[in-house]
Amino acid sequence: MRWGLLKILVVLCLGLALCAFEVGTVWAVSNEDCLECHGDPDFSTELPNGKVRSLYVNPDRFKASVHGVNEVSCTDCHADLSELDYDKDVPHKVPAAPVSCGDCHDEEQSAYESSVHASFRKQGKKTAPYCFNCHDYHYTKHLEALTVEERADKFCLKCHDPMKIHAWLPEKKLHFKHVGCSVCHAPETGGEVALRLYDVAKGEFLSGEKLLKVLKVDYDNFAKHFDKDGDGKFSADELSQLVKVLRKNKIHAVVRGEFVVKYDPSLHAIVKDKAVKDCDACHSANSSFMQKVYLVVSKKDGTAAKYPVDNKALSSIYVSDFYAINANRVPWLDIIGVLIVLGGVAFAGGHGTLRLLTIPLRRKDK
Amino acid sequence: MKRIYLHPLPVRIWHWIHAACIVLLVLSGIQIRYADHIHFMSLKDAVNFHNIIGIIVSIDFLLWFGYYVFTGKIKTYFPTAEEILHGAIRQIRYYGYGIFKGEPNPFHPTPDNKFNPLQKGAYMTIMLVLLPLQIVTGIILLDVEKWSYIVDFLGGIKVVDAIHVLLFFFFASFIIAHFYLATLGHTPLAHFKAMITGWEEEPEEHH
Repeated sequence: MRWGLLKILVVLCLGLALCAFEVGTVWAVSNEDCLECHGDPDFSTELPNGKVRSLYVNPDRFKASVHGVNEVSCTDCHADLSELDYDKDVPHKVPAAPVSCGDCHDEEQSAYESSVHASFRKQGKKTAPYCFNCHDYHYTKHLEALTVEERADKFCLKCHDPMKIHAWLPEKKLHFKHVGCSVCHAPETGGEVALRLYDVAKGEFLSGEKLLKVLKVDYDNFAKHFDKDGDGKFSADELSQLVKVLRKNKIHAVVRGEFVVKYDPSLHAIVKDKAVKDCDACHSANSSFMQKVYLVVSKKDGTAAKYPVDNKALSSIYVSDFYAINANRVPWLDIIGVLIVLGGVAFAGGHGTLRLLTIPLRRKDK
Repeated sequence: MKRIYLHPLPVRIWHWIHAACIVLLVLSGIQIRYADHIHFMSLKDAVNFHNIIGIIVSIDFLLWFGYYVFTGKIKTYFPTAEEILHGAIRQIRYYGYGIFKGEPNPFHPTPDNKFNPLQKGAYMTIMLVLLPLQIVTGIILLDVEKWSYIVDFLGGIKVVDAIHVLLFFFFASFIIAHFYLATLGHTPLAHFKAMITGWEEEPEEHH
């Protein structure tokens, strides 16, 4: 009997202790907890204006995002939702507080604050973008692998039509294909020339994966494979060798160039009126862009490997699909040109001189 | 002195429009290609100017070409077998030797056959090969994106540019040689006058 009472007391005490523990402790909210509801494709809410808004987050796409890959949890960003109360219809407060990207991305945030986007937002323009308007809410990806055109499509072209707002610029389409928006619109960031291999037969850029598969090398050995002089940079000859090897493997690729800005937080300081309108910023051999040149090889995860290229290679005919007028002239064309012009001068001058010298001869004949 | 009406008015108009345009294209071309070293006008202005003049000369060339093909005058540019085999050598001998001794020009122009064999060869190449090639590459460079499939086929923008630039040097050289050769009339100014009035003066032959 005494033992039975004791057992009951022990169970009761344990139960009380557990209850006390449960009340005093907050269970960490895991991504799985959130996805229990938000992982349902039909999960949505009706807004006061009657519109239905999806609250679905695609788990696979989130996992593949920069944040997913780096194991950032939902509540790292949605910090105000760290408690769930399942007794309520919605187990967290609604609406959730706006996410503050700047808590982690402070340099990007402070550059953004000086941008035309932020200044329009402060003026109350609701169309002015905040981080997620460009970078997406949950599926933020790496951008290094993207070409100028792809990046523009994903970002600036969501709101802007560059063809309508660059009346002063000649060859608009060509510029928009080879010059990143931020080159002129984030002029403080500074930039470089990105060379990529473009498959002219397929009409697309050659992916890093395919390139390395054909060459049977990996990202670490790719540059060393062609760096015959061991200077750690691709020279014009080494680039031409690369193109030749690809041709042997039935890939007709040309080296195409793009003006891009460095991947630096400061590129978020987008300007409008102070954007570069000076052609010389790129169209000069002294352009700061022409000093740093990389061969960009994309990676599957959206990042890219960048291999240094000797900037003299830009003036090579082998970098055949990149010519910024005046900036990267092919020197031997100038030499041939001078010889052609001198040929004309020599012919006229030589024949003319002979005509002058032979005047007495013709007089005698008469 | 015989007077021959060698250059009808439309031909003279074409000639001088072409001449002015080609000189302006060469000058603006120099400014575009060497913008780092020459600062006569801004790169942008030079490009726009070059584009406008290029379009004018292209239209002018098409009108000329259409007229010459339609009227059959284009045959003036085609040398005969005799001209290729013998006439050209005769003409080279004259320019390289006879002219200095005061020998008469072996070729006598007529309104229907106004070019000597060397002129035929040179002008046929220029008007039917080089100038069209320059116009085509120029049109491609005018809107590279529109013609990107041709640019890709040729191996990139620098290849198209190289063709255009080499021809640009050729035309610069041609202007110099052409100007000089125009002084080889019976007086140094005779050919210039003929291209203004239409009437060429031809010395009478004395046998």
